[in-house]
Amino acid sequence: MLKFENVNVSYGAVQILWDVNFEIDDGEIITIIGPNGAGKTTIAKTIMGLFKPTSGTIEFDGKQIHIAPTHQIVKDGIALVPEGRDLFPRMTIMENLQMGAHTSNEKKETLKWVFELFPRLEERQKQFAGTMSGGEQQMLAIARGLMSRPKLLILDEPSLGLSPIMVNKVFEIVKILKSQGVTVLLVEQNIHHALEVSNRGYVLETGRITLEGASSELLDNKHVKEAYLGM
Amino acid sequence: MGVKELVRKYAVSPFLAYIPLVIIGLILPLAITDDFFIRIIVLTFFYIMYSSSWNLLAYSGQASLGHAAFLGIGGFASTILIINGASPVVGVLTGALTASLVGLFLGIICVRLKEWFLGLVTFGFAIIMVAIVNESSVFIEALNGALGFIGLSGSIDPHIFGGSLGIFSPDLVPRDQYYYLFFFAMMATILATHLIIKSKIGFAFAAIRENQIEAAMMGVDITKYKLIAFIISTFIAGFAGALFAPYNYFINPEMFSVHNSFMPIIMTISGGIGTIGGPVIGALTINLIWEQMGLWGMSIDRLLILGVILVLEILFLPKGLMPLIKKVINRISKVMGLTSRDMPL
Ligand SMILES: Nc1ncnc2c1ncn2[C@@H]1O[C@H](COP(=O)(O)OP(=O)(O)OP(=O)(O)O)[C@@H](O)[C@H]1O
Ligand SMILES: [Mg+2]
Repeated sequence: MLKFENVNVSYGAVQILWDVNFEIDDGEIITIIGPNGAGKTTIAKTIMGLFKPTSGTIEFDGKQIHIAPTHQIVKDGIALVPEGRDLFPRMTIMENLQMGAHTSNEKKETLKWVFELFPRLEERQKQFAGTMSGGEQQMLAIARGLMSRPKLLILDEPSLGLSPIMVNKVFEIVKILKSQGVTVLLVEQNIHHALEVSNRGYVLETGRITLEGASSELLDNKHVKEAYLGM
Repeated sequence: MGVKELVRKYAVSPFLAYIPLVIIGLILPLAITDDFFIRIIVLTFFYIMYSSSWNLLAYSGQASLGHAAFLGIGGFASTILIINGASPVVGVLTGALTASLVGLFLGIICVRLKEWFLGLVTFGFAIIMVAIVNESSVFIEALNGALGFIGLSGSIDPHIFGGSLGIFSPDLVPRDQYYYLFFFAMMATILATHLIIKSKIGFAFAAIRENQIEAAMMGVDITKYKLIAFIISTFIAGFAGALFAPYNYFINPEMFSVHNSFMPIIMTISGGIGTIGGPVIGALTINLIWEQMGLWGMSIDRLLILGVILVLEILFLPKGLMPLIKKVINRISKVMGLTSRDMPL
């Protein structure tokens, strides 16, 4: 479904991603893990067309998307729930969700589906997004991402700064999405949880993919255990 | 159905709530005999249209500092056409379309600029337009050719246009006729802005204004929607200008003046930027204050007072008068035992 081939990305003179290669198949949950500053968010933003690779190609459903503008990539079926959530704080929950459905023609059914996943949002639809708690905002951010009916949903550190209960809730949602056949790219610091719900994972260190494999293998990997799980 | 229920029903339905205002607007010329006062009200209707046009562009996060350019283009294009024989309807629509076309062109220059530069470019453009109109023989000939003797800065005798331009002119037709023309044009403008703001296009405008990157990540084509905002806004400005020139029976490069660029800004900010009612309330209050000061014998010093009002508002009423009005309406509906529901404004 999504394929990175030798992707290099730089901020000005500083190169951040080095020959990154990875692939996501239909229906898979993929996790990218890595230390702070490794370039995980950069990968997510590059997929969305916010950064253009200096070389390499990104293919989505057989289409080269690294040259497409962001709004086109969204139309093609990718949604990013950004790190730090970035909602429209001065709009209500409902308005945020409607914004998410900008490219979609089946607003009503999608809204029903999203409210089934997040019943709390339905109760609170008139509340301003900026006045919600961090956990609630994360739920809204995910819900808003789903409103475009994406084929691929990218979650950038969705559990960041959440209470354990909320973290569980986030991963439960990912599991439900998986059972419904939504493809998810998960960027996470919460490695244990993330690898448990995903099929495969990649380790990104200083802009390079250093390790990849089935999630169960990565969980058993000595380097992953030492560097990321503190074991 | 009890009275309470009736009131409740109509306080809930967005459009019905405006019915009393529309009725007042419709019967006003019957109730008022003073022609001067009617002229002031018609002028207010004009400013409501013009401010709504500025407001719509601001709604998409683009603040024009030279909106008079589009007002003037609409006014000049339509007047030139009509005095050269076009029917008033064709003239006015073509005037608005011309303003809109130029708006699109300017929008293309502006879309990639930060708000800052957008303001400067629009401001500069209005000034360039004054120079073009003053210097260009094409304009002067187009106007003079038809009139035979009147220069650009001269006043236009409405009788020259016979029945054509005359339809707007208070001296040629019953005053009610031009009152209603402006009234319905204003209603159409308000309705159109309402529908646009509540539509998918309006949502895209708001998203762009709030956060461009986020908007793009919602799939909003930023360039496209910024240009749409330019096209619609400048169309309305040109439309207002096309109606205004004959109403004023006067057309000169003053139409492009800084004063005319400034008016919709202070009116919209006074009423409440980004709301549908804002330009309405703002145009009403500022225009009445302006005219009242005129009756007191003030002239250019009125600008000074408006400047002070603007500064005070930005300091103390940054959201304009709308929030106050909403509060009063909510209080009234509470007293009447209605569930407090915001009137759609
Ligand atoms: N706009 C920018 N300009 C310059 N450098 C940037 C910019 N954004 C990120 N970087 C740099 O790129 C590198 C990768 O950043 P990125 O945000 O992709 O890391 P990350 O893996 O998501 O980290 P974290 O786990 O902390 O979120 C960092 O060294 C960062 O300082
Ligand atoms: Mg990051």
